[in-house]
Amino acid sequence: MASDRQTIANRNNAKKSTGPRSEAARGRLRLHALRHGLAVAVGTDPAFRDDIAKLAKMLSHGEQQASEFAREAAEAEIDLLRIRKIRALQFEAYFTNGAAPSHLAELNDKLAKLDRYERRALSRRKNALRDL
Amino acid sequence: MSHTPSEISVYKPANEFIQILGKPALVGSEKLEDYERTFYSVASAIEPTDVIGCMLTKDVTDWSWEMRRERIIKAAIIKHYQKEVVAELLPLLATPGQLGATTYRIFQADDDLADWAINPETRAEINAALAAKGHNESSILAQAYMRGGTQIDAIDRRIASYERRRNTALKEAGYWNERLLRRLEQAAPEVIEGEFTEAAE
Repeated sequence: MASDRQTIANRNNAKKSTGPRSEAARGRLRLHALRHGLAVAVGTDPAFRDDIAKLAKMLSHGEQQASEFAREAAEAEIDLLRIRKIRALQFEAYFTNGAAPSHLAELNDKLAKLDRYERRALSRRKNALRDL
Repeated sequence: MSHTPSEISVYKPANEFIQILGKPALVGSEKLEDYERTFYSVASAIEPTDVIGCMLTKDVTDWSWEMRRERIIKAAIIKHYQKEVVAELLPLLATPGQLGATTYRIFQADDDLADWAINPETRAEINAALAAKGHNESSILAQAYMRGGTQIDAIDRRIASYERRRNTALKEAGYWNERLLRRLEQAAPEVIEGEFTEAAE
């Protein structure tokens, strides 16, 4: 257990640190908790906003105001495309590492996690399309 | 996606939709031409008439593609373990006596193994020699399956899951396309699938 003197020294030292200061370093740290980003709803990601709006409009047969179901189906479709790209990246990493069977267990785990997201997206899309 | 004139006459999704889909998610040495060939084969079987049909066409294509990818990996895994088994058995082919086996292992076994993997004639010769020692091809393959069992099982389960999803997408396409639905009702799904499976695998 730390002595009182050590505790005071630790607290004083901690006050000197305020974490990363540069924008680049803060940006890197922001990504530390991010694995594949699939837990973030695709509809809230600005990178996909335009594609979702365009696809929802297509599903609403060009109507200016896309229906709620068209938007839901579009979001799920974009989610599916995103998941497939991530899966391809995981396979790419496996091949880059020499496609050794020893790396396959890791790949299997990652693919199993992706599969759950994919199943949900497929189900969301199917339901939304039927309600169109 | 690029189009050839004959393919355009079969099916042409809106450019805006193609832009949203982006480039197909290919891996390693997979070729865009092969993917597109699969896509258009699926499209000619499904005959999509609207954006929903296009989405389901893409689904069926992607599931077929994923199955193809997994089968290639599975074949590579089996070959890896077959090679491992053969590597362990090769010293049996050395001249009798401890010195012969050791010398063989040091100087020639690696070359023979490499040759076994790529040269069908050497492979046949070594397989015949190993069979004479009681290790035929089937037993080597069985040992390879046992060693890679966990990985092979995971791949097989994924292939089965992709196949189910592909069939679901096909049925869903039938829900949206009366003509396809009639064909699905008249023919076994395998027949419809057979129209594009060859292009994919």
